[in-house]
Amino acid sequence: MNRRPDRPGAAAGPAGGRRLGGAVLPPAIAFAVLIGVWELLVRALQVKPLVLPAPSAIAGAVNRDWGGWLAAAWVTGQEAFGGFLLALVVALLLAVAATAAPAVERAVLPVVTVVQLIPVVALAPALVIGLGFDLRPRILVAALITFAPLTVNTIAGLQSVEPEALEVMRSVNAGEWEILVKLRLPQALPYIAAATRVCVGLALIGAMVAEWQGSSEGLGYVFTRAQRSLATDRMWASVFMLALMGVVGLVAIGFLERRLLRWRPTRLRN
Amino acid sequence: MADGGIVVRGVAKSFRRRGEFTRALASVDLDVPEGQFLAVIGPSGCGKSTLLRLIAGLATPDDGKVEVAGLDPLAAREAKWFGLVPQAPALLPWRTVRANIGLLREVNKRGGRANGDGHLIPVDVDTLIAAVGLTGFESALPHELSGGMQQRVALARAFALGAPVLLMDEPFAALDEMTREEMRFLLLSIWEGRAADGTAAAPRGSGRRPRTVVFVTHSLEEAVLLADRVVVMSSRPGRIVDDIDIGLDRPRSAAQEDSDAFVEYTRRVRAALRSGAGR
Repeated sequence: MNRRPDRPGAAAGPAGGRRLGGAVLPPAIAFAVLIGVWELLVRALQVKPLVLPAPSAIAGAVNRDWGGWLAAAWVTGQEAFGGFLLALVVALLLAVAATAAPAVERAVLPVVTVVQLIPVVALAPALVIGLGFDLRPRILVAALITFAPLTVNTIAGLQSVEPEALEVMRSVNAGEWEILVKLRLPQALPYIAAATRVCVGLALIGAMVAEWQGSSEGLGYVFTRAQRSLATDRMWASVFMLALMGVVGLVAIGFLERRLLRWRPTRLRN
Repeated sequence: MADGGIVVRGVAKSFRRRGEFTRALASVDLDVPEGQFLAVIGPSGCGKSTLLRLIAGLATPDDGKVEVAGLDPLAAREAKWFGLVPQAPALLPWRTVRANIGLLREVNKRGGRANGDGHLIPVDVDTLIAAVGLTGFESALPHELSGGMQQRVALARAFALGAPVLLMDEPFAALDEMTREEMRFLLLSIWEGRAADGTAAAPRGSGRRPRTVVFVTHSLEEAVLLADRVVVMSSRPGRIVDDIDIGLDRPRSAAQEDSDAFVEYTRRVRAALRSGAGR
């Protein structure tokens, strides 16, 4: 009983560095091998760029116009992040209401399910016609596509508090607001983080698909323009840029999780 | 200053589960004078936890009334008369040991009602942490502690508020036998006002309001060792079948567990439990 417990924070020195190296190095090698094989096959079999461009050609397409690519990525990123934030705010409000009143939960959950079943990708053209050619319809598409996982997870998180913890709080007359702030929201944080991981990819896909429908900017626009001129290297490049943004998003979430969820005995690994 | 006793009069409570009606409690009468350590013992399903929740105002009786310090349970709750120790430690995993212990002192701060109506017992948190043997672990997180240590934090959290009425719902039931034994004496030492090492720090009755305890348990030895009085309940519907005063000297010690008097008291409680079960 006198033994000091192992503090994970105290071991974050060399051991932490080694863990990070262990997490980064194997996948980096795997990706390098994958890209190398791809490059070799395209060259050896003389695959036409129209069928499949070589990684070097895709990299060349990016390299020719860094500024343009970054500008396009910035637009798409804004749409995806804006949509995610909008969905998060609505999800939080709905989840708090659903937790406070079971009737609200019974009303909201079917709606969330239906929203989830709507092929948002198919809805995008209608939204663009309805809302115009600016950022708004694209943000809305990203929001609609991330809304369901965020709402369902936030409700589950807010309601995952231990009944005993609730009774301890109630026994000293804690109000629902205090219980929400001190108990439910911190408890829901890991659930929201897990949903956010799923939403990174979804929001980016939503933004890009919305750009296909009518936009003069963003990675989706670059993609459709390249498609019209059969520039497959630029099409592939825009998809890779999107994937790269997803990786950046996941790394950012991982960073936030390590800062905010240090108290968790086991953490999801990147 | 109101007397901190508990009065239970003709209390009945039923539950509906899957269409079936279960009478958890049938007309229970109970008086707990201020400063008494009462143990409530009975088989599982006898409504002893329900009784505790009714006192704490976490449930409302179908019939009868409950009063704590002359207040109905909700008003007593609002005035901070209760410190609750549930079956599970129910610590907040993102809070350190110290922050968990201080949790209940933060509640209702904004409304200016965090300190009750002046009946709270002043508690020095550092002394309390030392008394439960957690010195050096103040900034540890719950998942870094053993089950026994987590329950120490839960115990300290209930004491830290300084509430005059402590309600404990089988707090040691989930612990292993050795740790449970340790926790019983730990609880005794804090409640009897001794320091953890057994020296008299602030003896009971030294001008301080004594704490009233309602301790729900299903362990005979635990009930006799801890309590001034043991109430025995029977199940379906839950009612009190015996009420036994425990005349063992305080402070209680491990040596008393082997005394003839201790054995005789456990024998009496066991007999009451059996007679209740046989009815």
